[in-house]
Amino acid sequence: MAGAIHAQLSDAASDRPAHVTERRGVRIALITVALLFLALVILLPLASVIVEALSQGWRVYVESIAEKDAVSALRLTLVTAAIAVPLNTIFGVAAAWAIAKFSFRGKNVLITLIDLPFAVSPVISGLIFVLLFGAQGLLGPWLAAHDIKIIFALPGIVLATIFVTFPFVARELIPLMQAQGVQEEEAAATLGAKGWQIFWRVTLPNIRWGLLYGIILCNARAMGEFGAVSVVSGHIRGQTNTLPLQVEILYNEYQFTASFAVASLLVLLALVTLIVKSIVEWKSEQRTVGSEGGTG
Amino acid sequence: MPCSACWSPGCSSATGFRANGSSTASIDLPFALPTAVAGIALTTIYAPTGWVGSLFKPLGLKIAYTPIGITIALIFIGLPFVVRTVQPVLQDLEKDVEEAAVMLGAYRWRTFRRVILPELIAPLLTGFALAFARGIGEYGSVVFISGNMPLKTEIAPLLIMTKLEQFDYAGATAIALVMLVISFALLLLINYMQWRYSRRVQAG
Repeated sequence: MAGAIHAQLSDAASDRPAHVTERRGVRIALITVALLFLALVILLPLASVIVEALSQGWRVYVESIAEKDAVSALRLTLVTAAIAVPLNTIFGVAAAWAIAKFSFRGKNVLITLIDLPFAVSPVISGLIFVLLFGAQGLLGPWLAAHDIKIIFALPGIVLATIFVTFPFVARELIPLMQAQGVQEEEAAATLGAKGWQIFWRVTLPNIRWGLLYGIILCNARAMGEFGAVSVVSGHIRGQTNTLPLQVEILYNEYQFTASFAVASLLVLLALVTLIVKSIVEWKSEQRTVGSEGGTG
Repeated sequence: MPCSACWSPGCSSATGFRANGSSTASIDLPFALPTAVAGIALTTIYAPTGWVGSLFKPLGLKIAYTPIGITIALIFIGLPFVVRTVQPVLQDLEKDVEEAAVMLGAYRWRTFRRVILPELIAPLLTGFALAFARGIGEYGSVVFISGNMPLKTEIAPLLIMTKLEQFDYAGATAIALVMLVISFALLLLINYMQWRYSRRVQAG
């Protein structure tokens, strides 16, 4: 480990002359503190999930995951994400398109509204829907009269998930599209392209990596959301439990191995998310380097 | 250019440490890991029988189920907000400015204090506000490690949950309203910081 850092340090020395860098001792101290902190706060929890999940061997692990309630929680999580993520993708592209390429009144209000779910506690996000659709809520009596169930059922879970993951795609695309400007679209228009044609042939290829990145983050949060979903789900076993809620229930029943086994599925999701994210970042970096080379 | 692990102002890109991909990606882990998983994992480690908790037990220091545990969970959740806000600014900082400072006779510490740090105040405050807003409302990662003792380690979002379970909607909404006011104030602060920063960049 120390050897690896050593090699990286001397390698980077050519980057910066001695007078604009820290002394060697300072550098090593800073990096050690940073890595130690990272290990203690971030990597250790990750390792503990895997260790705890496998603490009673593979058989117990597989049994915990194949258990009836766990499978139904997995199914509900996948269904919820399958509805929420595409909807938020469409909305995100539309909102980013409107904000980045056009100017209109109330634009700043729209941007602040998009950010809102980030600033609000997930528990409050869930509460909003209970106040709206719950039995004592604004629309509660009407829904009850028409026999429509939203809270403590799939629609409520989906709604809460959509609300919480609302900003991810739009947030990712707005700065990207603003930086790209409208020249390419204008060029396409002068060459006779129609609206949809411009979108599919010019805009979408330009934003595809940012879009993918936004979708991945949106999906990770949709599958992992806990607070908001916990408020609206009602915790009905085998019916309205998503994976994170299943983790909580098992943990509170002191079934630690089973709880960590289910949690390991979510860790897997997080790792896949980070890997895809790294690939996307690397690809888009390559793209900008390539285009800079092209113009230069 | 490969990205540096400039994830605290001290460990700036100037240290020349090139993060290998894994340490860069692991900073984003709190964004990607579901909060409930983070919660049970942190609790297991910092409980008196856990990997880290057992080290502190002989010292008479309890981490999980105390405010210290809550703080650790919030550090975990808030860390990437600060790193990811400060990092792009540090990367864009011109090396020439630092060189000029050296030419004018400033030592490294002074360069950092007088030249680098002032540039970082806006992003640091923004990152702070983002992490703070998230920390106030955080539920999943805290609820396990906090122990939920009334008046001692009970956080506001949990109080809302408890009131909801007792069908006390008025009480839950009242707490939620106070938290919403704090969130909006922070959101305004963040927008103001970003507006000021972009104005300064345009002016410069």
